[in-house]
Amino acid sequence: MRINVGLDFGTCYTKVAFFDMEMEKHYFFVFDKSKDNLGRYVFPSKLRINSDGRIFFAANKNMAFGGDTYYEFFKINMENTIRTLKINDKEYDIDDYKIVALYCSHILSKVRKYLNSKFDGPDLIFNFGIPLDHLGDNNENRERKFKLAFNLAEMMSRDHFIENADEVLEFLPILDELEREYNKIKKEELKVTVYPETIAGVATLLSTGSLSADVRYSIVDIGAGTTDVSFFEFTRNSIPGGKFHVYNSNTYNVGSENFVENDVDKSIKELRDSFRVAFGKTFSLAKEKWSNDFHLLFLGGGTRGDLREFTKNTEITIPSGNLFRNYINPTPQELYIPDNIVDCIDKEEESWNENFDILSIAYGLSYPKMMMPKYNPQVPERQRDVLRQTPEEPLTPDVG
Amino acid sequence: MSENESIFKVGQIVRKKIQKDKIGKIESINYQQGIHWYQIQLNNGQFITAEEDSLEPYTSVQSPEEQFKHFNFSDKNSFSRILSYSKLSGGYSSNPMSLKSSKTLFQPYQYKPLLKFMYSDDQRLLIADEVGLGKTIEAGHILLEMHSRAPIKSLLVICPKSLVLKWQRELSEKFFFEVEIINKSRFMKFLNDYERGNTQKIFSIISYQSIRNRDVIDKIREVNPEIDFVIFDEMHWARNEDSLTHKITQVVSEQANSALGLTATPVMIGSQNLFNILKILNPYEFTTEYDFKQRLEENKPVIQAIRHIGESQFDLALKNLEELSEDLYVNSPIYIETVKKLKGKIETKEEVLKLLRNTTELSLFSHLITRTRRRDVELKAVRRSMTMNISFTRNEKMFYDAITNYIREKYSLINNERRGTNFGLMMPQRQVASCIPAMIKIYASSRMQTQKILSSLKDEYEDDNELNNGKKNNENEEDQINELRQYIRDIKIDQSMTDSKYKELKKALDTIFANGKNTKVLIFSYFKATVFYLSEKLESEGYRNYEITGNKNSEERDVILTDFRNKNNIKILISTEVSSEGLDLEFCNVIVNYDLPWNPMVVEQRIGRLDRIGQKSEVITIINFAVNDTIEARILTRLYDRIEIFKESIGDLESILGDEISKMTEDLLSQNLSPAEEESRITQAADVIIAKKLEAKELEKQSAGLLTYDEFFKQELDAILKEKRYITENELLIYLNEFLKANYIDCQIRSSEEKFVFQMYVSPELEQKIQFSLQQQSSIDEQYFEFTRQIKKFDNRIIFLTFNAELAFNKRELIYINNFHPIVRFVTDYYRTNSKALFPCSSLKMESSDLIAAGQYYYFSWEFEIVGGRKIKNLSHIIINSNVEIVLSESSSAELISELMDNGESQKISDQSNEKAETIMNKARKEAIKRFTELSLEIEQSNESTINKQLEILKRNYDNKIDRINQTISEVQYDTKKAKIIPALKGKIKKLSDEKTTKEFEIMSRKHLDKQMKLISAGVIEIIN
Repeated sequence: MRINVGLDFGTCYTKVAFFDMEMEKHYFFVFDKSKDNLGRYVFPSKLRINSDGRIFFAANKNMAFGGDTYYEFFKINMENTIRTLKINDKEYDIDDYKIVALYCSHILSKVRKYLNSKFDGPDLIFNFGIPLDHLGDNNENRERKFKLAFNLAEMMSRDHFIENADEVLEFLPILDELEREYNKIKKEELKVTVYPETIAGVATLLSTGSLSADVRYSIVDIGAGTTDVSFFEFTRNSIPGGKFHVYNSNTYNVGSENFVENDVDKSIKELRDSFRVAFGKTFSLAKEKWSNDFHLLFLGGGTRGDLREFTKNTEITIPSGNLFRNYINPTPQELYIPDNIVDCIDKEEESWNENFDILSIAYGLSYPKMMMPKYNPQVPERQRDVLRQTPEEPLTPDVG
Repeated sequence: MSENESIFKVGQIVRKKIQKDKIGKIESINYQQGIHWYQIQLNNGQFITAEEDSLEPYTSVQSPEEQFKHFNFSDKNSFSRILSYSKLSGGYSSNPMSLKSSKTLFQPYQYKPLLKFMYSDDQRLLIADEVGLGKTIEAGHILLEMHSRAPIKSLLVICPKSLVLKWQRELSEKFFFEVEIINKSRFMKFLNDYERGNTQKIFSIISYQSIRNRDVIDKIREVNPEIDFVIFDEMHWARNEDSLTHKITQVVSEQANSALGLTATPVMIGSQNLFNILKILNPYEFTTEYDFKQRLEENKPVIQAIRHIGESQFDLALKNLEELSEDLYVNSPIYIETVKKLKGKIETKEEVLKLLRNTTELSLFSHLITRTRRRDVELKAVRRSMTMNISFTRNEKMFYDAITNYIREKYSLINNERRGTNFGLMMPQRQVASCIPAMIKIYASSRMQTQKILSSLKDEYEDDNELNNGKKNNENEEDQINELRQYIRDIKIDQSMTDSKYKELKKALDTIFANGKNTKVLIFSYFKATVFYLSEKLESEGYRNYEITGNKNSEERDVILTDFRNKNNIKILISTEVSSEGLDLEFCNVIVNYDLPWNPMVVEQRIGRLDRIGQKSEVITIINFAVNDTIEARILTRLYDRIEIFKESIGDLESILGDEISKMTEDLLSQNLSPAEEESRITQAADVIIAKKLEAKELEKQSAGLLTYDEFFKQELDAILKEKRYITENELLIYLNEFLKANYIDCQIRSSEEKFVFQMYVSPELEQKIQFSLQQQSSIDEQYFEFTRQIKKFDNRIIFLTFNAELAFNKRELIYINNFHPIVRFVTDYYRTNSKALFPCSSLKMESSDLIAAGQYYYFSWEFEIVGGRKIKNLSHIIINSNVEIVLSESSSAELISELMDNGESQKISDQSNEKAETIMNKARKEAIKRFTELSLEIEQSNESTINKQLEILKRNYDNKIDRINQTISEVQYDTKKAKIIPALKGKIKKLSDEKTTKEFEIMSRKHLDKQMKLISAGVIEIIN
């Protein structure tokens, strides 16, 4: 029995879905049965280390005792960060990726425990979503770090269940040990794969048959801390199936929760501008295709909050070189809800339905990477190596 | 094997373990996450990626039995797919394909005639339901069913002229048949073409008025055109043996392979009418009326036996059957078998059903006629009437009297023969009672042409019944109208005269809407002028309304009716009765008779628009307008109240009311009667009608039970519904969507915001494939064109569809997906040619069932096919428990299978021993063979008599035709001029005898039963507690 677990780390919440590969059924992982609605399916993605070295998950910033180190947005800049932690008045330099590994290990332990109780000796593999700039310079390094952190978490979760108030110092040597082990394992044997979360949304769309051939799409995933924007095209010029070409994909540091310092209007303007710039790059690659008609899909919790204003009337002005400007109005695309999902194995009430816009990335990630669409980046040759983990020739999506 | 070595190799054929219909060739192998991943190209051309554990090697096609023995089980989808496919393509003789598959509201009793038709040998049936029960729909069901079994290539519907459009509309809208309306010359052209060997088929509706013609009759006799299916509507029109209508129906019936008669006339054995009608449909069944009655008497015990079996009084039933002495019954194997069964113990419902079926088969009349009465189906609405007594103002009264006196005077002057139907005089008298302002408006208008006034009166109304059809003299009518115009202009009219009736109408409407916000009201008038007047006036005073008269064509009418049904802000429809004929307005519950027809049947038809099946309101309110001290007021109290027409349906008395009403009309108009005399004349008419009504009721009581007792068909229908021997909405949705998901994922069906409404993107590729497939089957039809029109309606190629007949009925803009929809046919055709996509064995689980305790079971679905005089094709389900015992009866097994269809889920199965599988398979096969043998025996018993009957009918039919030609030859042989045609006639005889021989041979060949059985589907079921 093989189960693929898809993990979507948001700025505020982590969402987990898993896929029974034999029966071809998806489930959303329920973190807290006592909660209603979205609360059931999410776990806060923040971590705090106390001054006495104890770790707290799901921690609230206001709960902090003096001298605590608080981790948030750790997925953005973790590639080079080393922080100094003061534990019991002694200082320790700790790589951020190790903290990420601890956090993920906690989540994975929970998932593992649950799945072991529900399935008979399941063989678990994991697919993590990572933020990825389509043409970002830092991708390679960042991806490497993420892979390391996630694999460490996976290995750790096999034998250790890190809980609230466990001591961080206890785990650091274990992590070091695991890292040495990790370097020895063949790449193909690792249980963890990563996939750009921006593209996981597309995987969802493909698996539910929401994409029509020869139509251009943009997905805007407004999360709590970041907004992911991608532009792609799905063509059916080959038989059978189709190709999936990514034109552009970016992550912006504007989300539904981090605009508070600014004002909302400014954030919206920022989003609009970013979107316009991203579109501009895409547009320059294949003008005639994009100027006609493209579909725009909004995902994520941010579409429900104050940033919702952004989702209304997205109009893009394209300077065309002469006096007249081109105005492009994308058609809104509906997010279809797939029907191969079961709430959770214990058949609880189905409230994932109403929250599918937020859970959809996790759903997409719960398809094993090998089953996910291979995307074909439409980028100039010199930048192509940035994304060389994806095969040149796109394969047919087969999900669903 | 080393860790990195894959189990399967590139190029190998594999399939998925759970979804065994997914079979394909390995294209490439990848090693990732410690797993071998395979890129596989499936049979349908798609690529999938699968991990090693989910695959197994595929070896060539194995029989379902082999698969079962090796415990090769697929998933729930495979289970549903193969069963739905079998139902859709199998043509099972006891699965009605048309059930819940037309745009009609589901009424179980409306399928009774269909079952009768399906089980009958000669495919001739008289549907004699009471009014308001939907005979047209019952006929439509039969047509749809027969068409789905063997395409009906030629169809002829013969009906009164006023119903031609209704038939066309109903067949098209509800049953997707596009039928052309033709006239006599077009029909003659068809006959002439047919004679010349033109094979173009006729698919038409023609009125009795057009087709009843000596030339047509002769030509049909001469040409003998073959017609697949004929429907005679309002068949009592043909009751009079001497009439042309009778003759034409008789001749057409002889040509038809299948024939349906429809009538609402009471079924009375005593009357010659019934015999005459039945004889048209079944010319070779009885020779004389005496013979008919004799046989009825002999058959009585059979009917009683059916009744007793239905009531589980088997000893009484046995007594009934033992009363029979005629060879016809006693020597039949079915009789012997039934008596034997009745003497034994009867336990299961299957046994009862079989007894009912056999006894019904023994009956000589059961297959001839079906009748459902209103009380059988419990039309729950009660009629309640209210009379608005109106006193005319002095001015109004003066005008009314002036017209009445004028007409009486004129009437007394014309000669007697013309009186009864003198249109030019009768109409103004009634019009003045209907609406004075409307009348003044048109008669006093100097600009309006007299012809126009006439047409404003008539509303295309023609008294269709041949018997009452007096010759009309249009010139005479025009003269009369012209004189009247002059007369009206001469009366001094006060233009500002109050309209007392209208004032009361407004009051009544206000009260109605105050009591029920969403009440829909239907206002009737006899006259177009009144309708226009009311519509305009009400609209101007804020009462939104629609009007329908003969001025509206059928498309306009449809739009109005749909809007009236669906729009909440328009609650009033004003109509003349003629233009509302045949309309179903069961969503209205208030009817206003703004004027009163003098004929009770017209009133009954008005109420019948509402008081029909589907009426949801418990009360139908009838509001009658009567002006004090007028003939109408007297007719209301003396006639209508007495015959209780406003309390309950008087049924279709048209054929027995006879001339009573026209005599009364004539007397009321022509004789200068005092009010008291008028009253007594009307009372007299009422007495006659009441007497006739009672007589009809009494006769009906005696007769209907004598002819047929339909317990078997009722129980069989219950069984069909319970065992789901049809395709349910949900089943069809799953069937389509599973296909689309596997092959055209972007075209899958998705739910919409509205319940039961779905949306679907139709890619150009899918559309092309459907078109290609239908072209291959040469079955491009109207439903396909409608489908493509809808695809093009929006740029995004998204269509809105429903599988729910009721919703499709109410929302015409939705595409209705039924068993016959092009896309369904396309999918079924796909599976027919890609049988690998159908996997026979599945492993399922279900949470509890009322039928069976928790535990493990095995199911088997066998297809039995026996072809003899009739073709019998059935599915038989067997359920076996883990102790290898048969656990459920045949019908309960079918119920369990249908439960699994709805609630079953895929279940992974742990490996079991092949030995056990073998034992279970053997047990199932043994049981299947036992059932199959029983069925074969039963069919063998009846086959001989079925064949003999078919041969007899064939022989009589052809002999009849040949005799007629011989007769013509003997008539013309001494006439030198005409004798020239003798060789041609002889040629015709030769052709007919050849045809007869071929057909005889074909029927004879079916004496030997062609039998086969095969396992369709099998698997394991886990019932969880």
